[in-house]
Amino acid sequence: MMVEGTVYRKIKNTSLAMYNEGLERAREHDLSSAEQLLKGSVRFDKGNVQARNLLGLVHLEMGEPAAAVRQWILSKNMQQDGNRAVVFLGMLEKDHSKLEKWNQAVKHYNQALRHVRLGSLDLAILQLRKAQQLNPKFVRAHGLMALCLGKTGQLQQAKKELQKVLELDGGNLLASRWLREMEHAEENRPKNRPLQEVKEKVLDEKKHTRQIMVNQSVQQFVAVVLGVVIGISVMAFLVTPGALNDRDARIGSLTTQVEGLESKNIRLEAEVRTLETQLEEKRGELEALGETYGDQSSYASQLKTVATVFGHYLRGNNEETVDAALAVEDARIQDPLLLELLAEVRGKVYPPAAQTAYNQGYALYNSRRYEEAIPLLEKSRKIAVDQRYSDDALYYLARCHQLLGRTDMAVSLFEQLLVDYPDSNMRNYTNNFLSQLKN
Amino acid sequence: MINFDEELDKFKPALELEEVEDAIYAYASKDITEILDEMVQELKKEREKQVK
Repeated sequence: MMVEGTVYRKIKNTSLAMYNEGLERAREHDLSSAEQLLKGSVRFDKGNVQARNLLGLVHLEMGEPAAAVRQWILSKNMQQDGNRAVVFLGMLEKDHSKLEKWNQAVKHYNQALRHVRLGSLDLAILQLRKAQQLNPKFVRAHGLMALCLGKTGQLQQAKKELQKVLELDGGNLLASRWLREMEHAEENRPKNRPLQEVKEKVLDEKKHTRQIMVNQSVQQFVAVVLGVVIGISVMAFLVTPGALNDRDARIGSLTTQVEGLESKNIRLEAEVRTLETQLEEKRGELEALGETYGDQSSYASQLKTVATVFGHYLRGNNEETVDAALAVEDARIQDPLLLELLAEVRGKVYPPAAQTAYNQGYALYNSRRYEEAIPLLEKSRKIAVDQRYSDDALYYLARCHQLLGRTDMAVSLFEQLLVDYPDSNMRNYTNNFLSQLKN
Repeated sequence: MINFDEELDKFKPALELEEVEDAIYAYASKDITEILDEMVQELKKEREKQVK
């Protein structure tokens, strides 16, 4: 080896540092960044089998089994003993049918790419759908699909594909950028929509209708619940004004009687006092009645909110469902069936919404758009705090505040992370930043 | 605004299992250490030529 020892050590250390950073990114499911860092790691030191093995895993996770196999074979050739690459290759060999499915997905993707270059976007989309059916985690297929759908004017579908990319590969900057540009283009879209977009909207609505028809058991429950809602709403909104009017009429009547007796200046002062006592008692009872109906009015409004949640859910408007569900105050709902149904709907819509909010927030954090990242990361944490990325959401939220100079808020959030997630892999970074901020 | 052709160029074909063997045989990548080694050797040869 001609290279001097110090330089050689520095090169090795650089390779290790890139491997460590790549490992962190892989843990955060930022697969694109992990891939680049690990490729860099093996460029510095091709004998770094750990980096090579991890690179293979990242390739596999992104839906590219051949690239993974290549890395593991190279790794095995460099080091036979005690090498995890041997184990990974063995596992793939055992599950040959899955490997073949994933390989077919790649073939469809490559065919789609050929179609795209020849300008046949419809054929490309067909090939990409096949690729996605064979391997739903194939990141590049979703990305290319988004491009094709965007080019053919199917913006809503394209956005969904980009969101899938971000779910699979949280730090995919290309997908984040496209999503932003598509949303910007949507805002500036002229009112006369092209036929393709109208067609897409109709197809979307038909798809929503199919979703509604599929969820039969929830529909039946909700039909019962809506019946209850309507019944109680009728009671609260029709009876209440009547009862209040009754109360006003009674008070008016008794007051008139008392005034009449007083004006006549009769010896029946005792009777007047008795009547006054009765008036007070009645007033007390009717005010209590008013409070009851006041509570019922509030209860009915909570039921209406719950019905709104179910309505959005049945129409497949997941984002609106989440917002409506967040607005419900559970303590005001007394019916256990309603609470149970609400919990079921939340269980379905909250986790993906929390993931999407986290992915978007994290992408903005990476783009240094901290003010924009904060509400998304907060939303993710509001919806779910027990997901595998919840500690990361809290960490990046703290980092955003730190980078915006809000030291007190950052310290508070970092401390919360240490308490709420004692096993978090962000613990060391958190402790370092806390030391810096407190000093 | 998204430029379709520009973005399309970023999509390269993915490796298929049937191509792995060729890809491995074609793998002649040198890492930084080997590249520096070569550079040092070339420099030494040039110095020797100058001395002669």
